[in-house]
Amino acid sequence: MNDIVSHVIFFALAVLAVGSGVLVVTGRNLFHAAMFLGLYLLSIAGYFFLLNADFIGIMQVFVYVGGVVVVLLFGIMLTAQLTNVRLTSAMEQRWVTIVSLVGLVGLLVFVIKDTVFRISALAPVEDTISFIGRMFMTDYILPFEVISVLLLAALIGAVIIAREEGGK
Amino acid sequence: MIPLSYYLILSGVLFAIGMAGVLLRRNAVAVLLSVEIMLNSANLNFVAFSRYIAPEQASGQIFALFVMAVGAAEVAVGLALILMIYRNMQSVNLDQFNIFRW
Repeated sequence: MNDIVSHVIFFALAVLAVGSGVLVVTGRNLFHAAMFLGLYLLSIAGYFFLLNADFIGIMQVFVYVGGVVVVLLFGIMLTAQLTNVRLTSAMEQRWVTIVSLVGLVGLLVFVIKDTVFRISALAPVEDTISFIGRMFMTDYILPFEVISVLLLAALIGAVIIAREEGGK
Repeated sequence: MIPLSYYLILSGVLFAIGMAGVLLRRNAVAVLLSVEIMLNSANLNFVAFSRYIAPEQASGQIFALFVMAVGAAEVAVGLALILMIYRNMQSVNLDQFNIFRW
């Protein structure tokens, strides 16, 4: 891809991601915040496509935009009282938080700026789906099985926690 | 090619935004939304390092998939807990969840 084109895409996605992220955090309407979270997740998926990670990008759209955002919307609607949709957030520790987070970002920029990374010139994996599938079944078989047990345990636990007490 | 440091700085900024949400929002569901922002900025870091440092192994992409699985499980359990607390206390305001305080 042309160098200028990829830079333009990078900064456009950066504006989209930072803008929607700020709107998620500062928005008063929780429903709108969840919608902006969807936009944020889509812009991150755009970065995954830009970084030649097409399978991760597709999974981001499936799992996060299609699944997590919908589940969060259910959660918002189930816990919304009539006056609760438009929330006032107290933000008492606002200045301490903002100062310390700006300090954190400044420290990170300071460290990253002076670090020399050994950039590899090799070509990225072309067929990521079959490559990742093969890795999951060979080198990463133990983490793969552990994560599947974790997902099963989390789903059963979520059902048991959210069930009505005493209800059968 | 875009320098790797651009991706790292961007993901640091996005992480700080999510952290601000976790620290400032008083609604439990809004805190879950902010945690998702932080998880995704970490995922962006994983994939960027995978592309630039070891593009022929794609191990960062595999770790990004693990982070996604843990994030999905976290949302399911977190929302179940919030629904449970909401049923008991009729509120999702974190400042009111202080029944363990003595």
